[in-house]
Order: sequence, then structure tokens, then C-alpha cells
Amino acid sequence: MLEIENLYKYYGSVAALDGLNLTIKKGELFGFVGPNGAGKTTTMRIISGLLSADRGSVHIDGIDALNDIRHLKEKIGYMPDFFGVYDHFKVMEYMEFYASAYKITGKRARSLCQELLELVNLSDKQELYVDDLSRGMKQRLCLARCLIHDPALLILDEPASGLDPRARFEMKEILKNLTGMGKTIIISSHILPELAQMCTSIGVIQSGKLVLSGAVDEILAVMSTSNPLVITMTGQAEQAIAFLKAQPLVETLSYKEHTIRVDFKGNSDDEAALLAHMVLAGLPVYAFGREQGSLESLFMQITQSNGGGTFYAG
Amino acid sequence: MQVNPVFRKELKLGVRSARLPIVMLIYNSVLAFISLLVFYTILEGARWSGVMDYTSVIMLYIVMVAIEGVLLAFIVPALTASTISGERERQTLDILLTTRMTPFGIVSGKLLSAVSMIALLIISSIPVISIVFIFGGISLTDVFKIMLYLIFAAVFFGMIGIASSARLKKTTSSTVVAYGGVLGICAGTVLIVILGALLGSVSTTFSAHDIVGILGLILLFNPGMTTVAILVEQLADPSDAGIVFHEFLGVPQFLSEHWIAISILLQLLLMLLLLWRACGALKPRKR
Repeated sequence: MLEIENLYKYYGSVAALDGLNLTIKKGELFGFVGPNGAGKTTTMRIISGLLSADRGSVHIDGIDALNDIRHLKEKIGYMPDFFGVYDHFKVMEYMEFYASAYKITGKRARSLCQELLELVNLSDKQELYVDDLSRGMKQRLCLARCLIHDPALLILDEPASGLDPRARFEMKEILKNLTGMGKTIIISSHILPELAQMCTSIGVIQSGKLVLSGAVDEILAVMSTSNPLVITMTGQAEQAIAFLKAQPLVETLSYKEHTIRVDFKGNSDDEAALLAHMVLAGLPVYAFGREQGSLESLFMQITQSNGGGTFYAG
Repeated sequence: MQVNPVFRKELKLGVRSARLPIVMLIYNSVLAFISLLVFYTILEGARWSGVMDYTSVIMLYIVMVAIEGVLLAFIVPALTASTISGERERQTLDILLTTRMTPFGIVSGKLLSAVSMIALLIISSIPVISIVFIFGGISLTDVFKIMLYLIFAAVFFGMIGIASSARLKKTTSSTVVAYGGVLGICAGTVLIVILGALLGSVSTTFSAHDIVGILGLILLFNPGMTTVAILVEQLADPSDAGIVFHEFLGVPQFLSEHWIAISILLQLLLMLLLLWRACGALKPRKR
């Protein structure tokens, strides 16, 4: 669906994108994560045809997005991080204006706009002025506007920023529906737990390079193998510690309030074997498992100490 | 054929905003106040002398055209300098550019909307301008011609505003540049010719006439000079305009004889250049 190869963009001597490579498959909900100034917005603006690249290629469904702007515009729907409104425009007028910008007019435009407003739960707000809508409603209206020409790829820059939890939930549900309809969506966001719940895959960008990319579950699973084992005991903690210290794959461990944290250099089979040995040794194990990784901790880990290599999960 | 969406949107938003009626009120009030003051002076003069001086009526016409031109030079840059930078500041420009609208479509929509606003402004002043018909001497065709040119000149000023608005990010800087451009075209060109004449008067190599003859050509871009040429053509012998520019400015005979047509053509070319530059500023490479 989207293929970015060796994309470079310089602002003066500063490289905003430094050989970015990214592939997104059709129907994916891709979370684009990175610290401020990492190159997320630059990438999104280049994909949207708003900014030129200095080198590299961007292909969307086979279309050369850097040179064939006319066809690119039919493929993409772009939603910037800031919702710009025209004062004195009503919701339906706003939609019809953008429909006319895609050469959709008359009855067809009206029925299409009504359908889209229904999709984003704004059909009862048609006669309200855009300026009078809440931020969440404006974001949903902006999303409906993106869909007017039925684009295959939606590029959403921070769509949930500044929204209250309910509005975020509504936005999330709409985006899930859209992927169900076969749309490919790229979202940049700083609300990482939400991206983890919502996205099918993520990419972490830092200093203009993609440092991690893959399916969310796989990334979290891979990340979990480097997390400590957390073993909760109902008793015999000292015997358990002595038992664990004797295991060759155990490196270090700590104990606090019935819970032992173990740096264990083994895979899931080794973990299963360890648990079986502990149970056979008569140790009262109440809970056993790797500490769950979060996208947030992964993000912090990667952006704080990136060795420069790219990691692909899955 | 589909109406330009940006033009349609601007018209819709324009009529819903209080800005246009306020501008029209100020424009016509200033025009009416000065015109009625001059008119009153003419009538008072006739009352005391017992003689109706028709040259004063002509003067009234000239004053009204001059006031209208000056008002347009003040109002139009303010109306147009925010057209595209305003979209940029509202962050709606990026959205527009990702639609099927081309940079030319956006700029021409803005220009068309400016033209319609300007036309409305000038047409609304017809009742005030009609004061010149009271004593006769000025024909309807004369007024129609000068109004048509004023619309053209205002569109020229508007294009300067739109071009600066497209190239500069902030409306404040765009407004300053737009006013600078209009001032440069209207007063700057005259100043250059005057400085050239002064230089010529002290120079031993070139005469003032020679220098002004060359520098005078930049006046072809000055809408004020074109207005003067149209007024001279209307109020004096049609061939006088040519004589005025040939003898006073020393420009070649052919140019002075066809001053109006050539100046309008050059101004049109400059407008097209500005349009091209404005469109270029909205292309991806430039942002």
C-alpha cells in the first residue's frame, strides 16, 4: 500500500529525514511514534504531497507520490494536527465545500456528506456552525471531510490530541470501523497506550530514521523477553531464592513483599521448565510470568538509547 | 461548468461577515463627504460671482476619480493581503492543497472573490459619482470607462496583495509588503522619474530630458498615470494625451500616442507574473 524508500529531507543542513524506509500493508492501522522533531510530521506532509523530498521515493498503491500529485490527491485523505475552521460556515456547508473541492456537487454531494456525517455521529449537527462544535466533534468532522473522496490511505496527524477520554474513545471506534472498511490509516500520536490498543502495527522514528517497526503484539512480545521474570510466592521465599540462585539462566534477582524479580536469560520454553522445577521442588508459586512491557516504556527505551540500528519485529 | 469552490466559499463567507458592509460604508462616506464639499464650494462660488464656472465641474470629476483611486489603493491591499496567509494561519491551506484544487485554482478563486468585492465597492459608488451629471459636460461613457479602469487598477492592487499573501507566512508582513508594493508602483515610480530629472539637471553628460525619457517608461506600470492619460483623453483633445507624455516626459512618440493601451497591457502582464509567482508559492517545493 505505502512504500517509502531512502527518504531524505533537509532543512538547511539539518536532516529532518535521514534515509527513512517504511512499508505499510493495505488495511493496517499504523501508529507512527517518535519524539518531537523526529520527523513524523515531515514524513506525513511528504506523503500528503505538501512537502517535497530531497531524495528517495514514496509509492502509494503504485503511484509515485512525489511526482504524480494529481493521482496522489485521489488516494489520500489528510488531517493535520490543528483543526482549522472557517467562521460562519455550518457543518453541512463545510462538508459540501470540501466535496466541491473534489468536484463532487449537487445531490450527490449532499447525500455523500450526510452519509459521512452519520458515520462520525454528527448527522444531528448539520445546521450548527462549525465554530460552535466541541473539539471532539470538530475532529470527527475533520475525519468525515477526509473521507469525502473515498481515499484508500488516511494520514492523521495527532488525531486524538486535546480530546477528552470520551471523545478519544469515539475517535478510536471510528478508526477501527474504517480499517474494517478496508482503509489504511497512519496515525501519529503521543498517546502511546491508546496507539497500543488501537493500532495493528507501529513504527518508531528517531532523528529521521525508523528505529523500530512491526506488529504491536509482536513488538511487545519481543520486548517482554528482555523484561524480568516476576514470581509471586505465598511462602518459603528464602528457599525459592536459594533455588533460583542455583539455576544457570538466572543472572540477578531481588525480593520484596512475596515477589521475586529475576533477570532470566531464557526463552519461553526455559521459563516453562523453570516453573515446572519450582513446582516439583514443592515451592508455593502463586504467580509466574514476564513483566508486561508497555509501548510507553519501549518508546522511552528506544528514544533514550538508540544504537542506530533498525529493529523489525515480525 | 463548476464554479470555483474557493470563489464560492469566499462569497458565502464574505456576505456573512460584517467586514464588506463596513468597508462599503467607509468608502462611500469618504467619497461622498469630499465630493459634496467640492460640490458645495463650486455652488458657493457661482452664488457669489453669478457665473457658473464649468471648469470647476470638470475639477469635481477629476477630484472624485482621484479620491476613488486613492481609496482603492488604501482599501484593496488590506482586503487581499490576508487571503492566503489567513488560510495558512487558520491551517486550512494544507487541507485545501490536499484536495483536487490546484494552486492556480486556489489563487484564482481568491482573485475572483477580490474582483467581485472591488466591483461591488466601485458600483456602489455610482450614486455618489453621478453628482458630476448635474451640470453636464461629462458623458456616461466617460464615467463608465474610468470606472472600468479603476476596477482594473484595483484588481492590479489586489493581485499585489494576493501575491504577497501567498509568499509570506504572516498576514502582518504580507500587509506591509502589499502596501509597499502599491506605494512603490504609484508613488515610487514617480519619485524615480523626479530624481532622474534632478540628476539630469546637474549632470553634464546627460540632459534631464534624456534621463526622464528613459526613466519615464516605468510610469507605464503606474495606474495613476494611466488614469491621468484616460482623463486627459476624456477632458481634452484625444491627441493631447500623446503630446503630454511625449513633450513632458520625452518618451518616444509611439509610446506616448498609445500610452493607455500599452500601460494596460504591461500592467496586465505584471498581474500575470504576480499570479504565476503566487501559484508557485503554493507548490510543495516552496513550502
